[in-house]
Amino acid sequence: MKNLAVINSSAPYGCSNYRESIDLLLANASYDRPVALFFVGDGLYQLLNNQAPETIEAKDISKMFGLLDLYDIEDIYFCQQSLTQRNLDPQSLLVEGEVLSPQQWFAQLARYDQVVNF
Amino acid sequence: MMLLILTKSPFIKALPGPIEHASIILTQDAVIAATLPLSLTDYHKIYALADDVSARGLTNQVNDTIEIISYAQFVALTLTHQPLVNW
Repeated sequence: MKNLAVINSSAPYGCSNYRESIDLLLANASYDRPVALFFVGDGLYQLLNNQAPETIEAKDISKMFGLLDLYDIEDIYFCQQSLTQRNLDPQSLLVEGEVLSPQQWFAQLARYDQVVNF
Repeated sequence: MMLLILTKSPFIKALPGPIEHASIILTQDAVIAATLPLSLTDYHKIYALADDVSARGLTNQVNDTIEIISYAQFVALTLTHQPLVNW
């Protein structure tokens, strides 16, 4: 089966990308398709602790990320440069991921047959 | 005084100015700018909408120079500023 990489590159909650990406990821994982989740740019803001999206009547993305374990999704990658630019500590994010330099990040991405960027 | 209303992430759309004689309000994804180094001298005042900040889990990272305001205060600002500019 072809493997799939999903990229999160947009911030929550300004557009609906954050919901669509996790829906696509979990739907594919539920058919035992090998999947990976990549974070870059503003997409990393999806992983902040203490989100309170009910104040703007948005869906709570942090609960969805709790499902990654259940679906055995362990291949998660963060872009080091994006973290540094945003002063984000990878230890304080909602899920654990491997921190890669931009070059390593793209090298990892190149291993996938199909890539969808949200 | 002019009020600029920002809605996009500063990484997607660059901040305007600096404009000494204008205030800016950060709403929607623009509240990300509230966590980055911003100089108050770039603008008269910088505001950020409380609900958009807390929704994104950014409350603890907000820069000291920024005033967090409610929707009601936002409306009040639109009445005391002219012109209003969507940025």
